[in-house]
Amino acid sequence: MTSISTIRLLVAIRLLSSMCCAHDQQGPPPQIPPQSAQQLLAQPKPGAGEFKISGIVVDAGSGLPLAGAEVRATRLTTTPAGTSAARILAKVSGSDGRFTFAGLEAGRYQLTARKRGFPPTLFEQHENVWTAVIVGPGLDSENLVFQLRQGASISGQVTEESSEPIRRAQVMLFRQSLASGERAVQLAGQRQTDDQGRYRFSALQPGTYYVAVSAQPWYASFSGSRQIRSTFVMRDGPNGTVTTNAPPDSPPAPDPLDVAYPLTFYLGATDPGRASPLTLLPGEQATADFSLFPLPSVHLKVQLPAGREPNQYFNASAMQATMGSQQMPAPVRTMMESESVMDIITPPGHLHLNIVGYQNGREISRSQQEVDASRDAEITVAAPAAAASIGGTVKLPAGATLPRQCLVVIHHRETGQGHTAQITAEGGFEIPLQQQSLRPGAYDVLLSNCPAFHVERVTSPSVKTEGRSFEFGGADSVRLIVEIGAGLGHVDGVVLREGKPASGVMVLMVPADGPVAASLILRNQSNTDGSFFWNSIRPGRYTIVALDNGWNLEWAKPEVLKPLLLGGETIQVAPNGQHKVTVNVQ
Amino acid sequence: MGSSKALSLLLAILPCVAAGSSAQTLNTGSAVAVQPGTAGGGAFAVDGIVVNAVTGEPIRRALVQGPNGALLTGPDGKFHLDNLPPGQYNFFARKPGYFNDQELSQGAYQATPIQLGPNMPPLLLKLTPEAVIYGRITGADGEPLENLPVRLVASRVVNGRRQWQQLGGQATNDDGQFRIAELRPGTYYLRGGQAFQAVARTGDSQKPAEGYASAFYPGARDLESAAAIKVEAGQQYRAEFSIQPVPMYQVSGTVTGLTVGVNGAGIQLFTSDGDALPFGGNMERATGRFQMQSVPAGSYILNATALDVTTRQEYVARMPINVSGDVAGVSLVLGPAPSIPVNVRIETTRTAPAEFIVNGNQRPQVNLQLVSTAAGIFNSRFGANMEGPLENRRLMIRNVRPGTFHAEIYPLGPLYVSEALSGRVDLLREELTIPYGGSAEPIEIVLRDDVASLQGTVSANGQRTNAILIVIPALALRRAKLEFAQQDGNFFIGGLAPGEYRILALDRVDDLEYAAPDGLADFTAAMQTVRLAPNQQGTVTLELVRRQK
Repeated sequence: MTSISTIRLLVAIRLLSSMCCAHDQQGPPPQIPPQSAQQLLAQPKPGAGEFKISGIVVDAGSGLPLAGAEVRATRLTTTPAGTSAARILAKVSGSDGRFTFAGLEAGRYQLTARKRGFPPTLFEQHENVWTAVIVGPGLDSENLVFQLRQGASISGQVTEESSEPIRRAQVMLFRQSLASGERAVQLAGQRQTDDQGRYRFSALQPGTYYVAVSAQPWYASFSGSRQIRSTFVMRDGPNGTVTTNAPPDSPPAPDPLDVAYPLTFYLGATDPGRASPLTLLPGEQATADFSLFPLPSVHLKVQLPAGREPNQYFNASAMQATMGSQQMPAPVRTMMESESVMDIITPPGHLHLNIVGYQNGREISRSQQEVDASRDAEITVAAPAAAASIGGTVKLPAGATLPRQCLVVIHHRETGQGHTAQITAEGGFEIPLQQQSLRPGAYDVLLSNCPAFHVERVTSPSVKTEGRSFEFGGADSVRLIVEIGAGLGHVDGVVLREGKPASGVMVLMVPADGPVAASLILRNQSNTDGSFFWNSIRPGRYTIVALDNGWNLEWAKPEVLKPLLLGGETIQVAPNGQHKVTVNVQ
Repeated sequence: MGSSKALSLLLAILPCVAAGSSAQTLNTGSAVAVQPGTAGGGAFAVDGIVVNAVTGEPIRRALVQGPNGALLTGPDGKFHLDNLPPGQYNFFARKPGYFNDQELSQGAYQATPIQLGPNMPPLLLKLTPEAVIYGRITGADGEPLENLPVRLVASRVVNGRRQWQQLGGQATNDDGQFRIAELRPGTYYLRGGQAFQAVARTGDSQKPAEGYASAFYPGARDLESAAAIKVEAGQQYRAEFSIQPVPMYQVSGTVTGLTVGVNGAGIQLFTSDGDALPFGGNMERATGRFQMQSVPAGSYILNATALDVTTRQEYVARMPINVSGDVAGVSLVLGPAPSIPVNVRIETTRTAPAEFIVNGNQRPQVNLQLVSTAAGIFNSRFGANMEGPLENRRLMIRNVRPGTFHAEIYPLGPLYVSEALSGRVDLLREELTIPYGGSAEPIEIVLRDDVASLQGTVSANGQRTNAILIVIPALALRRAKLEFAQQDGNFFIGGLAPGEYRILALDRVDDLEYAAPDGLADFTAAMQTVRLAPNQQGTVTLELVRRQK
């Protein structure tokens, strides 16, 4: 092994908070709370212990060792208050790809590695879980194989049909992946084109991608002159195109400036179903150029409610369907055509239109509708209605007070989409429906950032509830009473394969006493010694399963998950209970 | 460039009819020999061309805005407008990547209107191409620096005073490249860094970590030793430089004075030019202990700010620190940021006071801002706002930081500021200093309605002309203001405080430090002096002074 010198390095708080473990559950997103300065300051200098972490960094594509990769090791300490990180140690792998951290104390370590062209990754990272390296007597924390995957890139240029670059076009990158046990197309990044119309996405994982561009012709906002367009014509001549007067009897031409670019997918499709996928290998540099063709804008005339009060105005925004179930903002412009008619100018397409009324700067009404904007149309907006919300009160056990930072979270069971609300000193919470569009359907209620408390039951005078969930109709206000219980459980486990501890295995914890929604399933990965743990578990019945190669399974599908549950271990988590469980890999 | 295929696609969306007329040949840069358009329906027509102000080349697909709408030029840069109404109108051209004169002037600008009539000569509209600064930044061993913030610093004249401006906040790509476009011609300083993340470098545990601190092209640590990048219109300037890693240290300590309503404190280090390091400190609320990582060696102001969410009161602590190794045990004591009440009194001579009280006294009678006079890149402003219950609204400047300020006071309505005092400091003539840990006396403003006015004409060689007027009160140089004379040379300036003024008529004021003490030294001879008594309507005749380009 070559000698690699240690350097003292800095705590990269950003890195830690963006890539973190799934251990603290109860509501997304899982994250390590910001580590306290005290914990940071109190760390002993490296070199105090007798243990080692060592291994080799390899290119996941070729399997060959990677020289000059930077590896960082961070000791993590988990207490009921959360997980804290110690001072980070950094190493650079030698020419044979090897790295060693010596003089370590026993404990749990997080390893990250990076190299230019290889995006930073946690050891055996899958989505947001990873394998922690456990260091201590009798444990093997050497000979780790740390795979780094070379990043791919997609870059390109967006031009007008006249071949001039389009600046500030919005370029969206979608990735088809198996995430959270579901195969789905998700937004993987957004960029704006530069002055040359260029964009670039780098450090991409290998996989299947789609690219889309949304833009407005820069000159479109200057449209609106009917006098000019009736006499102005361009035509092809022997030396190019010239502008001339139209013959006096020619019909009025549409305003050449009143145009819009439809949402365009690579390779030029305007229908997401006909978008061409880009399949990237590690390190591949793909190009996706776009040429956008303007179409006449569609004008949606919105009849605003009559008898408006002063200081009242309306604003419109629109979302358009892109890839998968992703809705992205559509490039619409609005103009007041008269006191009571708003003109929404949009590229042709299908829009989810959102018209919001304000009075003295405060939102007073919101109307949402699906609009077929393939041709000019007239739309009416309902008179301002009372602002709706999902809210209510929390009911605490006698004598208990909630920590100030506690949040109520509601999760749409089907999509997993979450919305949070702070809890006031009086125990009230409100999720206004104006600022966010909530889908109708079943919602599960959880607490987040709230150590030692959990939701026991939800009741409502206005809507149907069951256990910790309620039904939202889609429009009317919902009043809830959220009964809160004290105490969360702690689960410690070991994954065994043929009787021996198994490292890097996916572990799922599935509620066994209520609905099985993907958003309620907790996910983990066994450490190098086969161990795993969950802090802060809401009391209840759960089945724990350990799955080999689980990262390729669509476990969010009930038909995939159900047979797997039979091979799991079922436990009853009690408030403040400390539970131990052993699970066999299947 | 010009592909006729692309244009025919545009034609596809224009149901248009071909008419017989031959294409024109162009002499770029010169006036264009095109036939005047036929006047339709008794109105006028004009032909024209949009050209690149530097090369003289025609610019296709430029937008031309006339009195009754807009259109795009053809591939030959030409345009034709008809059905134009009689009168004087402004014509503007625009296109991404170019500036028209109005966009270029970045401030007071007076367009020269065109008189529309029969048999008009062709219009020549010029657009100045943008400059671009682009390049690549590398670190140790020539490795490209990825995700490094890149900014430009430029000195600009704003409201007659020269100040630093920062432009183009972006980051290098994975190959260390950056590109900042849409720049006006001028002088810029290029700053790379500070890197968001320290970079691990092979070394030993006894040595401090290294990272990339902020550096100016071509590798200078501060603005004074940075190289100026002078770009002409249309220039693409390539700037490649390398930043060497420097040792990074840790700064830690304790914040005290946290009140109950304070949830946390923001801790930042500011460089001597007022720039903040890209990451702040992490403070533990329970103990007030904080730590900042990755601080390059240097001298800083360490600053802590906290907001009491219940009272909206801000708390501030700051101290200079010198970092040449790990700094521990720093003690920051938060104190309330001062608030300065503003009392406005109106002395009326001809109008009932009630007329100035709009909407039950809800509106302030003045717009008052304290503007820091620090010489750094970053200036701060603190404005007065109305607050309090409806029946007792008052003006208050909240949460002012320590510093030296000048007051910008603009009365609303036909009034002038006759007096503005903070204790013994005369804000019309002096700067206001708020010491660290201290405050300022309430500001007492007296507004009066016996305003004077000034009217007159501007001529150039016996011809009446439009002009930009600079009006300089004799007593308070800082409050020099701009006014405009119309096309017929007439002007009227109302709302003046009685007193002595100097007045100057210029064709352009771009890049002119007219509000700075010596900014108008070249024009002293051309200034006219007038003395205005209360309620007086003064008259003055001015000769236009043309500034050299």
